[in-house]
Amino acid sequence: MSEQEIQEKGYARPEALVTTEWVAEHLDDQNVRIVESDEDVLLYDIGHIPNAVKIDWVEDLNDPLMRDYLDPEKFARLMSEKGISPDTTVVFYGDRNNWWATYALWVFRLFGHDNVKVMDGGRVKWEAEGRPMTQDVPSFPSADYPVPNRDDSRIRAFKEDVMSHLEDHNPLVDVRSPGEYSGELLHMPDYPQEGALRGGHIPGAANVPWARAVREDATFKSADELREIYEGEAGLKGGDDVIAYCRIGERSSHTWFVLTYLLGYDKVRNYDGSWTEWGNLVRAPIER
Amino acid sequence: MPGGGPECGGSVVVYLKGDGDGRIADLSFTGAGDTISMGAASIIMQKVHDDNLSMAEVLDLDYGTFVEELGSEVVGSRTRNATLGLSTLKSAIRRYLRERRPDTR
Repeated sequence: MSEQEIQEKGYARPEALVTTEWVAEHLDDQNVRIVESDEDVLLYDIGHIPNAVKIDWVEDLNDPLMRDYLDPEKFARLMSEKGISPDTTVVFYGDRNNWWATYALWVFRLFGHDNVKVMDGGRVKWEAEGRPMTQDVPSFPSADYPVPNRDDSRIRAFKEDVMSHLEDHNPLVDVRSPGEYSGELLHMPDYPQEGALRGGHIPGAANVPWARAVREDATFKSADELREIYEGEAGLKGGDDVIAYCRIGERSSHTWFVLTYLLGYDKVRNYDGSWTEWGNLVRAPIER
Repeated sequence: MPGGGPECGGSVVVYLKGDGDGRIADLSFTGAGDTISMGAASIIMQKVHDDNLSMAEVLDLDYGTFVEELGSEVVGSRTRNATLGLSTLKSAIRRYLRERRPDTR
């Protein structure tokens, strides 16, 4: 697929996606940093795109004590270690249809690093095309990264925001599976802490499982196809103030990416507390 | 006995057959998940087989020690993934023992 084919998919912000071809041509570009972010964290060690660095979403981007993301000082240090400066174009890719790649991208956006892109098709497409992979871990010279301001309000929703969202009758998108949405699936035996005390969904939320946004080959569907799903079926329209959620906010960051960059919605927030918070929250309203 | 969750981390189903005497006659699992969860599940099944562990001995296995044996740098904080197979196996054993307990009068 060439860049023209991304253009032809009709996205609002097509520059947010790059092809595997583009990445192959920019492996040695000093202004670009390729970042692998996977659910299966050992995949990078088994083999990765040459010159790509690993960002382990659990170990690198989370606060180890409190349920939150890392603080600005740690983010700056992480960027410095990976040889990323504020001007660097960061290109994310990963497994599971780029699900964790978009989550890492979303976290970067909390810190104002806006020069971010996703490699369409992710890891699986690079492999399917027989492109080179390596186990060599690159080392880049430390970059200067000033401690950024962190502003969560633009793209992150907290439970209070969801409460007022409900009062204003603004749209919510629940991107979990239909079984979780309906409340049939609560938790699996032995892992009660993985589930919630209550099943169901936030009242009024539309259910659009996150992976509906991608094709078989893990590339994103065209803007027309996405509009059919998110607007035709789920009833969203441009200009809406949307909150997306799932279980811990990882799948919903994928949908946030789709709505924000591919369909051009400018008021989309990811509620990362998601069902692990809402389904355990005393007196939080639930629908089934 | 199922364990885990399909959307995050991994899920396994453990198949356990006892010999009626507290020993394990047959043991296998199926599952889908990341390299850590599937690799660790495979390793624990192999260990039970190689060391000929009884049900009681499996129940006594310590999760922390198991994670150390896998290698804590590999597992990191994904201990839930790493212990998925072992915890599901323990659940299977407990259920087996519960269901076979003779009636008490």
